[in-house]
Amino acid sequence: MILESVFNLFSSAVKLIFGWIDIPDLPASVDSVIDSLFEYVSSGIGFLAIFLDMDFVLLLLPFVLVVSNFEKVYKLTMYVLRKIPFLGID
Amino acid sequence: MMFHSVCFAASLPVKPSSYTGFIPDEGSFANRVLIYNFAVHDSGTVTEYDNSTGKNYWTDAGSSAATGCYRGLSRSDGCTDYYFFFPTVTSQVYNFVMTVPGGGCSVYLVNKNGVIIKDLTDNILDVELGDYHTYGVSFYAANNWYGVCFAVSHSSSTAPFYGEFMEGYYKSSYFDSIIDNLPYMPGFYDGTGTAVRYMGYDVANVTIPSMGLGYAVFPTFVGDLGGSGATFTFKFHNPSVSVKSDKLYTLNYSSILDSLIISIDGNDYVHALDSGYSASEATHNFDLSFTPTSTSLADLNFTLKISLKHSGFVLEFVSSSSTDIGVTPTPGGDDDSGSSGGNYSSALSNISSQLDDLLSGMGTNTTTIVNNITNATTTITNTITNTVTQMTTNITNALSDVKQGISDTIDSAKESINTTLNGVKDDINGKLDQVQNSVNDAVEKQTNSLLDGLKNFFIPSDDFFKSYFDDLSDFFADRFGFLSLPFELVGRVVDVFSDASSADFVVTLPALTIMGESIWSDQSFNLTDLIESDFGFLIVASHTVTNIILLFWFINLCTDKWNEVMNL
Repeated sequence: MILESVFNLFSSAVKLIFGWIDIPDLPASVDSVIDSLFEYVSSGIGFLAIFLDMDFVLLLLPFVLVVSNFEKVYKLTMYVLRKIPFLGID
Repeated sequence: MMFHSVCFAASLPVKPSSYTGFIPDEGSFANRVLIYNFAVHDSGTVTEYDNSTGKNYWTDAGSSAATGCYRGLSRSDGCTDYYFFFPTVTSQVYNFVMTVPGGGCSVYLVNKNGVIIKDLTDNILDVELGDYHTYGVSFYAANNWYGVCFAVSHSSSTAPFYGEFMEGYYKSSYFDSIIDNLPYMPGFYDGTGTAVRYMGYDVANVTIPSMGLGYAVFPTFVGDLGGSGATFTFKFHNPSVSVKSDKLYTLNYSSILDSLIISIDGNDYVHALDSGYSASEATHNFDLSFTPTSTSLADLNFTLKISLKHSGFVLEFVSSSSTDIGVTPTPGGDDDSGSSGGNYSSALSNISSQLDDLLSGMGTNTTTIVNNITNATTTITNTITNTVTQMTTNITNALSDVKQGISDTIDSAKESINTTLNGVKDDINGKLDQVQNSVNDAVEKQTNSLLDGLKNFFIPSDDFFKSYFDDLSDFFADRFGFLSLPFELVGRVVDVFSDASSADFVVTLPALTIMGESIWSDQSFNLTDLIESDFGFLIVASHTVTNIILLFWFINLCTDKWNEVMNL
């Protein structure tokens, strides 16, 4: 209840701040093209799912990302840990 | 000639324990031999020998039956050996059956008081004569002995009787008649110098000056004569001799038990004769009656002490419960011609004959009665046995039925109780389960409610963020218009990849429209469904192979990255 109140307060503040803005939507034809594009993308992934086990791919994907960007992840992690005083990491 | 009276009485008990013979003697004359007439039925014999006169009264067997007495050699000192034996019983070979070890015969000399003064047992001679075994005792007459007592017992092993009397011998009616004839006394008296024989015992007057009396033994048994309470009577009657009235007749008991004579004297059995009796009476009888007061005197003998100055009476012994036993005269010897002895001999012979007939009839009747009683007893025994057996069987069957019924009832009750108890148990368990479930549900519900309250207090609900961001997204899309497109594209890309596992390979054939006319509408073909339905195994095989390839590729990636990081 407390968090909900905080978030709702934040949401109310955002709506109050940006409530006066009224920018027009994207044209419908463009939306149609974008929808078609995503349908093709989804269909293509479905084609790949015939040959690949997408569950296994999605399971493996975060590990691949972490391993591939190990240096960045390591630095980010150490940066966060250094911010914790009682750990004493310099 | 002075001749002393000699008499003898014998007891042949029914039990094969002993028999006794008693030869009383005043013992005042040396040259006298006592010859015993063993009153065995029809062989009554009296044998006497007067050494002073040399007159032999030996009569040997006076009857046709086997002789009951045998006289031996007369010795120079005046003694005579004598023997006695029993005649053979009809249908029996021997009177004695010496088959049972331990039997014995003892012979004792006793004085008038019944005290044993000499044991003659070692003097017994056993002579086998054809069918007979004779047992003789040789002894000397002396002043200090008064008789000889024969006792057969099976307590001695030293005697020549190596066995007991055969049982059948005692049970025979023949022998019973012997017993019944025993009570009277063979005796004789020679008051005038002429041998006169009377039955009974006559202790004659002056011939016994030193003693003044004589005594005889009446061997019989209380049981044989009517048992306890019967009245026994001694009858003295002598038609030729009157009885003095001033004399005292004394009746004493004596009992021979275990070869010891016990005399019992008592005033109860002292009777004074009536003064009315006179010598002139032609006949005169007087009786001495008594009733034994004790049954312990089973082997009761009666000793009659009579102090009379007269002689010649006949003594009878009568039991009130039995027939008056007649007097059987002793078969006469050479001098059996007394003035009155003949009459009595004839009378006694008749009485004896009648008695034999009576006893024979009694024996037959007794046998018949015994047989009838035996048969009746057997029948009753069988009936009782059968009845008891039948009752036992019935009772056993009834008890078995009752037992079975009780067992069935108990089983039924037990089963019913178990069923009821199980039902009650199930009900109780059901109720307990319901209570427990209710309690659990209530506790769980309250707990969950409490936890939900706490969680909701701090943590937003699950749908909160989705609705919250959807609301923000709609707000920005509505307010920022096309500027929100990049964010939308990112979200849609994320959605595409997150939904990749469920994405289908769909080939869409677009519609064809020419000049506003639709040639065909668009057509979509879901190839994923087609392949999964018809070639599912190929998809599984493809996934397996590609998973392995991806796994190795990932491992290779990790290896390369490791080498890169470690600068290898």
